[in-house]
Amino acid sequence: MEAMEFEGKTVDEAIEKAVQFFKTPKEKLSIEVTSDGSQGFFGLIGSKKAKINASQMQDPVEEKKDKAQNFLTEILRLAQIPSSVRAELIDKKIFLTIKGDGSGLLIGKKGQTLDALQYLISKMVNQKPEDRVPIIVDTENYRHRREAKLALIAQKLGSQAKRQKKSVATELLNPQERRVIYLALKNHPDLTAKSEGEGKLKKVIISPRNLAHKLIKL
Amino acid sequence: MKELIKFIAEALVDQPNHVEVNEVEGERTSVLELKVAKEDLGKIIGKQGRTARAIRTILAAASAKINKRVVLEIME
Repeated sequence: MEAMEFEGKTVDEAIEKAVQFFKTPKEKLSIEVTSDGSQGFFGLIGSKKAKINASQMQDPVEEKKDKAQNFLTEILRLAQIPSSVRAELIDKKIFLTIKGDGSGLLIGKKGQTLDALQYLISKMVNQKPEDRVPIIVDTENYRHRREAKLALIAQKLGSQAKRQKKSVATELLNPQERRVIYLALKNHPDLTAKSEGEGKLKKVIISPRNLAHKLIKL
Repeated sequence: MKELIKFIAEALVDQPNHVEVNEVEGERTSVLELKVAKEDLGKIIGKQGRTARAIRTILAAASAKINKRVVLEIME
């Protein structure tokens, strides 16, 4: 944020002008006094104006939000994908929504292009591991649609496991996707779920509960 | 594509002025050679190559649009 100079008869007056200019309370301004000003004789001769440099203090999270939006906009422009990016701050998370041509190019196979963008933007914005802000990149409501689909898959595989009285596995899923499966089956009386595999991508094994008991006994 | 890789690399590293991208153009396939400061190599590759993979995924999506194969090589 760029600093601007303000003048007044006194420092307080100069600050007041800055407050009105930025339309923000004094506490949210970063102020540097460059000249105290003097009244001179009876405010007539030799009076000097008080000068300050003021700029708007930015909330670090807001700053990251702007940064993330700029990075993503620039990447899409350079990739020659016509689109615009909306940025919002919800629950201390940065949501970036891309409005594109709807071709699905930005989503990629199982959302991998979207995940790649999300991962890189997060790396760029959260360079220091402390005060990391989660970033979610979405387009065409993909994240929500994927969640709904996964919940449906959980139900389907769940009833299959019950019917066939044996464990069934999902495809390889990332942690967020696995979470959806777990949530969908959390309160199910007859089914249990656990992850299996190495690395970021794992399968979720859905088993009928009595079978799980049997396994433990064995 | 060259500018895209340059921009992404510069945003990831500590020494953006040491980022260099060379394009070797072929008929169907282009090769982008990315050079960064030695200390920044880890930032470009990432844990288990995750960052490099993400960059390549975006490159693949961008080059699919222009019907060309673009390969990213990270030079050591």
